[in-house]
Parts: sequence; C-alpha cells; structure tokens
Amino acid sequence: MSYQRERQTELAVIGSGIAGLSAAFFAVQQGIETVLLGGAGSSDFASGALDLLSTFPGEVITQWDDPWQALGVLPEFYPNHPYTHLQPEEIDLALNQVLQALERKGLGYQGLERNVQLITSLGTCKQTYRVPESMWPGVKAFQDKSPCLLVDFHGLKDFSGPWLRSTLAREWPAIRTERIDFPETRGHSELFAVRLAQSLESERVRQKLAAAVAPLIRDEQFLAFPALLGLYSSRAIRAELEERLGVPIFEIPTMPPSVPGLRFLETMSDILNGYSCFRRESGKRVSHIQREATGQIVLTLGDGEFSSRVLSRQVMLATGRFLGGGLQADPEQIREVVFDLPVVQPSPDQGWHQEDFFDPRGHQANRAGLEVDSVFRPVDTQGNVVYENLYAVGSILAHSDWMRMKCGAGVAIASAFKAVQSISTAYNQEDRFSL
Amino acid sequence: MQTQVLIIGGGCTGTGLARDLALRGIDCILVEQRDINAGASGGNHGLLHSGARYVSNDPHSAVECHAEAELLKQLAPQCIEDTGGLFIAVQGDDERYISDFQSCCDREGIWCRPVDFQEAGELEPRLSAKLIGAYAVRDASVDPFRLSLENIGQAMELGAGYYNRHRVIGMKAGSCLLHSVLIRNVSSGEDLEIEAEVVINASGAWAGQVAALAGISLEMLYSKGTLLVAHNRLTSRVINRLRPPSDGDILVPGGTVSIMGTTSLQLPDLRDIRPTRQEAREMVKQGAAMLPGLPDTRFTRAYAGVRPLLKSDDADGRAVSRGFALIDHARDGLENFLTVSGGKLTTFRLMAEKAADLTAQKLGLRTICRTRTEALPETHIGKWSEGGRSPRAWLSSGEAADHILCECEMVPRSHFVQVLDDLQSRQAETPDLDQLRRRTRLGKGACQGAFCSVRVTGVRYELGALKGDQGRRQLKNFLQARWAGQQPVLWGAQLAQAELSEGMHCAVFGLEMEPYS
Ligand SMILES: Cc1cc2nc3c(=O)[nH]c(=O)nc-3n(C[C@H](O)[C@H](O)[C@H](O)COP(=O)(O)OP(=O)(O)OC[C@H]3O[C@@H](n4cnc5c(N)ncnc54)[C@H](O)[C@@H]3O)c2cc1C
Ligand SMILES: Cc1cc2nc3c(=O)[nH]c(=O)nc-3n(C[C@H](O)[C@H](O)[C@H](O)COP(=O)(O)OP(=O)(O)OC[C@H]3O[C@@H](n4cnc5c(N)ncnc54)[C@H](O)[C@@H]3O)c2cc1C
Repeated sequence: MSYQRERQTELAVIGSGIAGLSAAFFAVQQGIETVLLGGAGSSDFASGALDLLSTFPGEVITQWDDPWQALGVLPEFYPNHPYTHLQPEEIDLALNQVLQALERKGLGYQGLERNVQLITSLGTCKQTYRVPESMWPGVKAFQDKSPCLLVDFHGLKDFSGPWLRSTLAREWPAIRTERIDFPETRGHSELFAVRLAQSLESERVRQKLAAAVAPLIRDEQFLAFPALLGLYSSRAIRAELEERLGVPIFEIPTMPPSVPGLRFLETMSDILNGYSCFRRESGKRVSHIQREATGQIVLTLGDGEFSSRVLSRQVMLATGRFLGGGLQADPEQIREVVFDLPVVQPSPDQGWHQEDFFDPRGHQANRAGLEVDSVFRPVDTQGNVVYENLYAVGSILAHSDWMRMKCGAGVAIASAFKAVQSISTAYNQEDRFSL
Repeated sequence: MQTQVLIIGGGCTGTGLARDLALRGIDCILVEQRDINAGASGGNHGLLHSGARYVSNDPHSAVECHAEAELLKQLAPQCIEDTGGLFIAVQGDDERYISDFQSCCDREGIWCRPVDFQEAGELEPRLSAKLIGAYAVRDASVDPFRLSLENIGQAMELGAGYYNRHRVIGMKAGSCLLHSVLIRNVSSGEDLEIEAEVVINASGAWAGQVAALAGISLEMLYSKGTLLVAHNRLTSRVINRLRPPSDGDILVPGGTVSIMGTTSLQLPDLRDIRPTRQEAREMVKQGAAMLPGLPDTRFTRAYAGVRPLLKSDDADGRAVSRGFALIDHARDGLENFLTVSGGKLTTFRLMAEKAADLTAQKLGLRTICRTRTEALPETHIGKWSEGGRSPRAWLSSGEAADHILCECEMVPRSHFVQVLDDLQSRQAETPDLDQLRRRTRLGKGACQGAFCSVRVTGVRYELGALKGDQGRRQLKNFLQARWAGQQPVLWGAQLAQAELSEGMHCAVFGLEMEPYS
C-alpha cells in the first residue's frame, strides 16, 4: 500500500473561493483549528467589488438602491433565498469583520449605506455595495462628471478606453483618453493586467509610468487606469503615483480575471496565514469521502500514490457551482460532486435555460443547488439534515441567482459567518463539557 | 437599378450561381436577406457525400453526389478535407440492410470496401466495440462557409453585385414577364427596385414564400435537422451509421471539431427553426450506439437547418427524393423566372450549372459552363474563415505588434482588421459582429465569443468604426445569437463556461439591464 499522509482537524473547509476563505477566516478567529482545501474557482474571475443585493429578476427587473430595504422584502419574493436564514445585523456584522481585517492588511473598501454605481470598461454601470478603495474616486468622478484623463496601454486587449469614452460621450463629455506603451514591455505583443500589476510592484517601473503619463495631463481633475495598479501593495503604489502626478487616481475594472478580485483573494490568504490554527492544502481536489462511526469525516485529496487524507470533525462545503466545480451536470440532471447531496433541480416544465441569454427573469439552472436549514446544513427532500456536522455555504446554495441578483460576495460571506457561528457554539459547549 | 440576372438567396446554390454566371460573362446581382449561408447552407453537416448514404433509397442522388464530390475534391481542395469515411453497423441494426450495402454501392459504381472490425477499431479508437458491419467509403468533409465565401468572392472580382441584409419583399409582374423586384435593406428599412432580364429564386426552404411574391404557388415540405458541435475532433474520418437514415447517425470531423447529426422534424412553417435541448439529448443518446463516449463529450453548441424539399405525397422528410428541382416558371406564365431548390450542398455546383444553362438560353446567349473545369480560386474574403489558417499565418509572420483577439481559435488582430476593412468597403452599414464572425472564426471556440467579442469591439472603437453605444448593443445581439446555439447543450464543461460568460456580462457588466438594438 502506498504511503498516505493524514491530518486531523476540527474543521475542514472544502473550497477556497470567497465563501471558503471567509469561512476559514471566521473559524480561525474563534480559535477553531481549520484546514482549507481547494484551488481555482469562480472567485478568481470576480471583479473585486463586493455585491450585497441590488436586483430582483422577473418579467420586469427591479433595482434597489438600498440593499437593506431589498433584504427586508426578499422573503416575500424569494422565500428560500439563503439570506432568509440571516438577520440583517448578522449580514452587516459578517461583512464588517471581513472588511476590517482586509483594511488592517492595507486592502481598503469604500461604500455607502446604499448601493453605488461603479463604471465598467464597457461604459455600463455596475450596482454594487462595497468598492475597492482604488475604484472609489471613480464613483465620485462619474457622479459629478468631472474632467478625467483615462490612460490605457497598447497591447492590453482586455481594456479599451476609446470604447468607454465613446459610449459615455453624451453623459460624461469631460473624459479624454490616451494610449501609451506600458514601461518595459517593448517586444511583447500581448499584455495581461495581472502581469502588469505585478511589474508595478517595482519602483523603477512606477517611475517610468509616471514619467510617461505626466506630460499627458492637462487640466483634468482625475486620472483613471485599467485596474492593474499593483497586486500586493496597491494602496502604496496608488498613493505614490498620485503624489508624482498630482491628481487623484482611480481604477476601472477590466475583463476577468480582474486584478482587484485577485487582491481580495491574496489578502484573505495572507490574513489566514497569520493564524497558527490554520493550515492550507491547496491544489488537490477532494476525490473521496468516508464517514466514520464517530461521525468524523475522512476526506481523500487527489488520487493514487500522491493522495493524502484529512480527518475532520466538521466539514464546510464551499465548492461553488459549475465553474467552481461543486456542481456538475449531465444532459439529464445536476449533481453535487463531493458528497452526492440532494440538489434542487430546475423544474422540468420550465427548462434549464431561457431562450434569451439576457431574459430578465434569469435562468432556472442558476437557482439550482443545495437546500439548507437555518444554520446552513444541507437537508434532504424531506427537510432532514443530511449530516449534523456538514455545512454548505456560498454560491452552491439553491434559490440564489447571484449573477442576476448581484449578491455573490454577500451570500458567500454571510452564509460562512452563520455556519461558523453554529460550529463554534457546538465547539465551545463541547470544550466546557470536557473541562 | 438594372442587371441581366438577379439571384435571390446567398446559400451555396445562389453563390455558386453568381460565380457560374460571372464566369460566363453574364452580369448578375445576388441579394441575401441575412448573410452568406444564413440558411441550410450554414445549417448542415458539411459532409461531402460520396453517394454511399443514398445507394439504397435514392440511387439517382447517389450517382450525382458521387460525380460532384470527386470533381470538387479536384477543383476546390481548399474547402475540403479528404478524410474518407466509414459506414458502421452495431449490434441490433438491420442485418439485411448491411448485407445489401456492398452490392448497392457496386451497382451505382460507388467505391466501397469492407473493413474488418479490428482494423476499424484501430483506425477509429472511439468507435463502439459492438460492430457487426464496417465499410470504408470516399466521404469527405467540406467547409460550407469557405465554399460560399470563395464563390461569391470570385463572382464579385468578376463584377457581380452582392447585397447583404437585403430581403426581397415584392415583385412586379406583367402578362408574361417579371418586370422588377422590390428589395428592402433590413438594416435601414430603405427600399430598392431592381430590374432584371431573368430572376432566379435560389432561396432554399423559402422558395415557396419568394415564389408567392410573384403569385406562384410552390408547395414546400419543411424538415428541420439539428446538429451538435463537439469541442474536439472525435474521429479522423466521417462516420455514418449503416442503417436506413435516422436520428443521430452521422459524425463529420472538420478542422478541430466534429459535427454530430441529425434529426428530422416536420415543421408547419419556417417561424421557429431553433434547435432544442430535447433534440440534443436525444441525439446524444442515439449517437452513443456508434460512439459510446458521446455522453461525456463536450459540445459547444447546436444549430439547425431546414431541408428544402419540394412537396410530394410522401410524408417523411428524409424519404423524399433529394435530387434537386429546377423549375421554369414559364409553366406558370412567367418567362423570365426560375426556381432552383432542394438538392444538397454536395451537388450545389451542378444545380448552379443547370440553372445557369437555362438562364443563358433565356437570355439568348451561347455560353459554356466553366465551373466544371476551372478551379475555385482562393480569394481574400474566404481565407480567414478556415480553421487553423490564422494561427499559422500569425506564427510565421512573427509580427510583434499583432496580438490574438480570440484565444480559442487564435484570431490575430491583423486578420480581423483586414476582414473588417474589406466588409466596410463593400457595404454602407456598419458590419455586425455575426458577419465578422462568419469571416474570421471568432466566437467559434469553447468560450463561444464571450471574451473575443469584447476585445474586437474595443478594437473597432479604436479604429473609429463604432460610435456611441453601438458597441454595447452589437455585443448584446451577438451574445444572444451565440446563446441560441449553446442553450440546448448546456451541461458538463460548457455549462461552467456559460456561468463564466454570464458572470462577466451580467454580474459585472450588467448587460441584461441594457436595451437591445
Ligand atoms: C466573472 C465573474 C465576476 C464576478 N464578479 C463579482 C462581483 O463583482 N461581485 C461579487 O460580489 N461577486 C462576483 N463574482 C461572484 C463570486 O466570485 C462568487 O459568487 C462567490 O465568490 C461565491 O463563490 P464560492 O466561494 O461559493 O465558490 P467559488 O469561488 O467557485 O470557489 C469554489 C472553490 O471550491 C473548490 N472546489 C470545488 N470542488 C472541489 C473539490 N472536489 N475538492 C476541493 N476543492 C474543490 C474550487 O477549487 C474553489 O476553490 C463574480 C464571479 C465571476 C465568475
Ligand atoms: C440538417 C441538414 C443537414 C444537411 N447535411 C448535408 C450534408 O452533410 N451534405 C450535403 O451535401 N447537404 C446537406 N444538407 C443539404 C444542404 O444543406 C442544402 O441542400 C443546401 O445548403 C441548400 O442550399 P441553398 O443555397 O439552396 O439554400 P439555403 O442555404 O437555404 O439558402 C437560401 C438563402 O436564401 C435566403 N433568403 C430566403 N428568403 C429570402 C428573401 N426573401 N430575400 C433574400 N434572401 C432570402 C436565405 O436567408 C438563405 O440564406 C443538409 C441539410 C440540412 C437541413
């Protein structure tokens, strides 16, 4: 038999997207020993803005300026939405804990009590709740239609300043564009935002960028770039450029993968690595599970010779949807991949997808997923909890079309918070008992 | 406006006709309501039939296909991949049909050779292990877009006129002649009148509707066929099921993909010719008998075409003779009006030749057909639609300032700009993304245009080719058109792809809130 490593833990979180990272974060804060599993998922494509709730799909789309008001009426329209298991105070608390931790690591977010309008590279507006601070001046510049210079780069095919300017010409005439060579990229025909962001971590490159941009500024009050101003030290990089150039600078999201989205994931990982009760096993998929008589769950990672095992008392499933890998579909049905849990299927009479991609009602398949109890434990078709020690959080949950309702990060963070609360209550009780 | 011949319909028949007439020195204009190959010519397998498929139920077509296919392999090699083909039968298939196959082929002079089962399995490892019959034939794979683009390309070089997005909406007839045809520009709504000495209706399944504009009744039978595009090349040869034509029994590889088909559904009219999820599921089930791995295969999209069959008493679409119809409407009292419909992609050249012969006769001209002997030249407008061609040229040019706009199909910026310039010089309206897609392969790969559509729109703004919110609207229409193809096959990896696309275009860009154009 081949050698297999085995690790024991209190909590295993399967999935390291926004939901999994948040779950691990809430858990380690309580001192719960946590192992985080999983690799790339849908969160790697996220814009970096954190959505709470802004839209109800339907024959006619309803947009909400005030997400808290929307949450108040949500149960009337979506009685099973994951948010219906949460009090507004819990959601607020969960978001704030994450945002404060990010702030302490230098990744700032800004916002209001209501949703804000974030300009995208297509010249459309994204309604969202919390905006990376690097984009925040743009929210104000757009609101006031202030004179603004937008600089983009030859060879950066995922961003087009001229498109944005032309689309907004009537609404925001004071925006001007310039296209320049990105420093030290001669000879490269294709540039990617993530690579450019990394290269701006070097002071030499920043100096050259500032030197190239300075002569282009006329009387603009703002300077805008595609979102690539640094990956790890974006706050300092932007401050330095602002100082060299003498105007407030903001970023505009590019096509995915978006640098601000990666900053979020990187910073969350960084926070977690500071806890001694935290371990990460990335790269390998959970290929097999087994439940011991004690109720503990053994997770096998990877296959064959190089597989390893994690033995855990509690398991949190944060494996995402089709893109993340938590759900898989064949022509007939949708399955949950790791535990083969019951999945709320699209109703056969309405079909999986509408004929119009942009149908205002959204697509049925996007509301399929796991049904859970009030503390986010998956339940079967009779409503019985499948395993006492198994939780599911994030986009894998049923009844939440995150793409249309604009609630991706909000549901991920808040559901993780509630599930960890439940785990930690049980954990503390046990602790006291064993004393 | 005046011309000698007006051709209605830009499928393979119409474009083939334009080339044939232009080569005879006859002046012509082709009008197409949507775009090149918007009808059945863009909705088929792309199987260049050796004739073997028709030997038992339609020997006449079999012989026609055989002769034309061999000719096209010589004259239009750039559009054809000479893959060869296999006919296979699996346990449960009709043994009588299998045992008659060889003799039917021999009788019609169509090459066919039995293949032993082990050899078949070695040639095509994805085939079922339950073979009870296997024959090699001379089937091939043809790129219908390339074919039609090259045909219209040469015709235009020889002076033919082409009107894209122009629909025939009316005809003025006198006592024995059609005087003029009324055309509407579907983008601008402007109308145009064309006077022609001869008018040819090559509008495929729409032939009945077009003839009705001249007061002529043509009864048509509509049979919809759905096809699925597999993301990779499953076999190196064309695979046919050796049984009477039925659902899910043909697989045609072409370039890097494979086309699985087809179904046959009688339609009452031409209003709804979209493929459905139900048809796709059914076809995968059926096709699994030949290729057991089909249910786990990634399909990127589905599409459908309507077989243009002139009505007979026979009720089933597939059983009606597929030999084509060339109708001289002198029989209905109009001396200068013809309809050419039915047939196959494989026999398009022959259909064009016969229609052009009759046209020349009506014009009182003595001409000979040159498409039978002269090779189809490679034209500039056809070339970037070929799979694999763009990346090869891009790699060998080594141009540093050029970059790839579509990673799935490796379409570089320079080729895109070339096609864009070409289209812009030929038409007054702004080309739409779908037109550009047909000519470049953009959006044909795994992501179905989710990424490259945004990039090329950016390039068009940079070139000043789009203004205001045109880009956003074009993008939305394009994504919707691509969706119609993906929607029936959304499972497995393609469903994850769709989630990424919707995440980007709805969650981030909020395009569902924007108006369509
Ligand atoms: C293009 C795009 C843009 C977005 N933009 C925004 C935005 O602007 N605002 C916003 O709020 N949200 C946005 N999101 C949504 C957001 O990323 C997700 O909805 C949210 O992060 C919840 O995802 P998740 O953590 O539940 O799952 P995912 O991020 O999909 O993560 C799933 C994780 O599970 C792991 N996994 C899966 N199966 C296994 C297995 N068998 N073994 C081990 N690990 C496994 C994966 O490797 C991955 O780590 C966007 C998403 C996309 C795709
Ligand atoms: C599912 C299916 C699979 C097939 N597979 C094969 C195969 O593998 N091999 C093969 O050889 N053959 C195959 N065929 C047959 C082949 O596709 C057709 O015979 C051929 O494409 C017909 O071409 P066409 O030019 O006559 O008609 P079409 O391609 O239909 O062209 C007619 C054109 O007329 C236009 N039009 C209509 N009305 C108007 C108007 N009022 N004004 C202006 N324009 C108008 C339409 O937009 C259309 O573009 C298949 C057919 C189907 C449906």
